[in-house]
Amino acid sequence: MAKNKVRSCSDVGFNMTPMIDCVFQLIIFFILVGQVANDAYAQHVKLVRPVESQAIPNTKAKFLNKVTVNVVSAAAGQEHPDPADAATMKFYQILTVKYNPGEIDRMIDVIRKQKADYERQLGTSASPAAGAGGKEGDEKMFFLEVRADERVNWQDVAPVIRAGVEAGISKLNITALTAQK
Amino acid sequence: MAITTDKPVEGDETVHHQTPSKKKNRKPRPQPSVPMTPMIDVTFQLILFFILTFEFRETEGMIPGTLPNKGSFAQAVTDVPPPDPIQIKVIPSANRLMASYEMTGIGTAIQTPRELGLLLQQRREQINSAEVPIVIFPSPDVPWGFVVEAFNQAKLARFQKIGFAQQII
Repeated sequence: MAKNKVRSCSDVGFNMTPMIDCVFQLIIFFILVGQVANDAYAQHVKLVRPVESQAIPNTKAKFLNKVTVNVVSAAAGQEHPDPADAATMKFYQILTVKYNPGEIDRMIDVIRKQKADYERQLGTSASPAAGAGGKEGDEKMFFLEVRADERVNWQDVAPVIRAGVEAGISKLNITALTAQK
Repeated sequence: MAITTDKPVEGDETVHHQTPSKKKNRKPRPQPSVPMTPMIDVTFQLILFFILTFEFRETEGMIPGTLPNKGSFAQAVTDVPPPDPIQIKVIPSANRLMASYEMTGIGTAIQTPRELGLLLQQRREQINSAEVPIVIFPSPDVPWGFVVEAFNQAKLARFQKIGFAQQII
């Protein structure tokens, strides 16, 4: 009687190398493409991409000499929002602090304080950060960055610009998406 | 010269002598192995984390501009009168999905930002100066995106002084 050949379990094996290669490629991709979260930027702000955008990519500018005011829509994060909701401003946000529409004076105080802090720091620092404009004269200027949802009404963004003027800021940058390549 | 081989040759019944060291080599040696399982576990955890938290973000940038100094309106007295500004009105459509532009010296409404940009570039070439101020008058209920479009087109036409003004109703 013929004996049945029994194969030991150790004979069966998977070739793991290609799988590990792929997995590492994926990890490297996600690490490189992923962006570090920035406290100054509110989530779910739908920015405009203007025709032939003149926006200078943020990678060319450093972030020390500015105050960013986010204008967040009531429809932020919604897939199919009601147009009326989208046009309504929910809150302003500076860093992680949110401000209601009636708190413009409080916002002006915060902007003024950040500007004063920067100027104090500038007095002790030998090499200040470059401005977003990239021009020689812009280097030391403290600027106001308006990062507003493209759907909100102008009447909700105008107070931010006025707050910048009130706080004595002379440079305004508008956040937009850069030109498509 | 004789050719030798280790493989058994058919019909060859010669008993070849094998050295003890060769006999020893025949015994299967346990292969050293690195335990891969924990590494694969961790790697998959990482992949899962990245896949779940990943969000495509488009490249943000900034369109540079300036703000007037507080109280500068009263100080702006010069011998040379300032040039007449080019006014651009931004008016939303009924459903707010579109907006049209009205520009000083242009009788008809401008429907697209590109068209506005072309007209601004033509005006810039005509007057041959970037010092003429552009004043954008957005309607209070116009979406901010259309205001940025107007600002962007004025920048594209290389005008230096671009400002916003509130429409008085």
